[in-house]
Amino acid sequence: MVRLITHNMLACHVKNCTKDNFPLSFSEVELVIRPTEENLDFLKRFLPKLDWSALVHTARSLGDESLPEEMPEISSWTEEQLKALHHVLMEIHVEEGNMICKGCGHVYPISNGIPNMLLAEHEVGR
Amino acid sequence: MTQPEAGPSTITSNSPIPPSSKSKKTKEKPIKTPEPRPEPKQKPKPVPVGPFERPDEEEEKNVHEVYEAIAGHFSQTRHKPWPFIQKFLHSLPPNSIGLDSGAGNGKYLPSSREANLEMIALDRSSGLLEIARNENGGECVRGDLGFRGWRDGVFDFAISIAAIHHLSTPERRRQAVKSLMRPLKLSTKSTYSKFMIYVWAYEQGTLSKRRMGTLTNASAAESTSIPKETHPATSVESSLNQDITTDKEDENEVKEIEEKIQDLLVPWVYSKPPPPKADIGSDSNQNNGSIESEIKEKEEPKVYHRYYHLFVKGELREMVIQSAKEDNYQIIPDGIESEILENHLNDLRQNQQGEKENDKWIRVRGVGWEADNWWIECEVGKL
Repeated sequence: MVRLITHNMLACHVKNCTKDNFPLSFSEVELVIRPTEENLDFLKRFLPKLDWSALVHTARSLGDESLPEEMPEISSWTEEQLKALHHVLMEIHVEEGNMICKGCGHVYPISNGIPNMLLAEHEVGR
Repeated sequence: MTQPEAGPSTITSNSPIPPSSKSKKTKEKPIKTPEPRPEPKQKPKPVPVGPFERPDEEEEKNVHEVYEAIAGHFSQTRHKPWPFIQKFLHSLPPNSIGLDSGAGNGKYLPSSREANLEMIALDRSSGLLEIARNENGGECVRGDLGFRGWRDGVFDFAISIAAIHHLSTPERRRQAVKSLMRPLKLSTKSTYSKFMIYVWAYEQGTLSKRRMGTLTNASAAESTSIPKETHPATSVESSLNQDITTDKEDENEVKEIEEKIQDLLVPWVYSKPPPPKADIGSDSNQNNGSIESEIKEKEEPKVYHRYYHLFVKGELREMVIQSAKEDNYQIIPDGIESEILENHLNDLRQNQQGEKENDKWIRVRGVGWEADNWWIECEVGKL
């Protein structure tokens, strides 16, 4: 269950891959929507860490158009907007598919909802 | 060659029994006679192991492959979260988000939810992560302890419990610490991000079932006293932790024991049903004829070995500080406790004067020994 909140925190970590290594693009995905209780306090706390543009474009690539291109001012969020954000961040689960780095092309497979971020030893940049 | 004394002559300052007292009636025999005769039923012992030539390959074989093989059995024995870690999680601000690096079967995921936290489980073993996902219901990511794929500043806290001791070189262990710290949010004002690391201790209490570290040596076993480290200030200090209390300056307490064997292959006896508790307190639950004992198969149990590095006193702290230095953190000196931290940071800001390079800091909130493990709790921030 790769949720978009997790996807929003993950970048490609292949050695020397520093350009276009975030966000990873989804391909061949199987989605499951799992409604969960909203926690608006959590969302507000998380907002400053969020990469908004990555989230919006990723959501759109998965067919969800509910979020505006520009992030609303933090103080002016309506409850409705927060609910939409909750849905996108916390309820859309990618169960199967791939996450592909736009920079180096590395493919991170997702299986049973678990993304495999392991690299071979020679691909790791420490 | 440096040890003048041997045998049971060592009496430590916190020994409950005064030297003169010879009364033995209340004392259980602490020494097991070393290997009376090699019975086939005997529990396999940890095996010392030298430095690996190819650490990554050896860890693959001696850690990762073993966990994949024993995942189910291992998980049955590791479902109970340690209260100490739960307490740490409950000390964090609600609605924080954090990372459990080396999460195994995700046994802290339920605790994190109880504490109103979001926590992501990272582990190398897909077998254990499957269990984490199915039984403990958490967000799981497969990656190793050196995983560098998190964006900077996304987490408010991080834990790594009983994991870093599986890495076989100091460099790889420091890499893991840096990987744990790097995605933490660096705030310029309180509340700061915190992390906690737990590793197996070389210094084993006499009640330990592990039989390694100090306990691999029978004579040492008797005199092993619980080592101490100072706890500058900590939110999780010692209520659960009566054993390691008070006196701070006990540098000489831990005896230098012959040669320290810190790198071991520790056996795991694999059996499909959960093993009935072998040696201690077994009779209490024997009577109700548990199904497990009935379906116990006749076949020889398979023994796997996992690599462990046992940490000696002071080593965990040194590892963390060294890692932080390598990532250009300023180290807040000991004795700067929470109450005066802000003043201290203000002083640093004044001296800093626009220097941007070196604006990260780390403070050790506490270090201690608990139940055969060393733990450390730290916080990090930015000037």
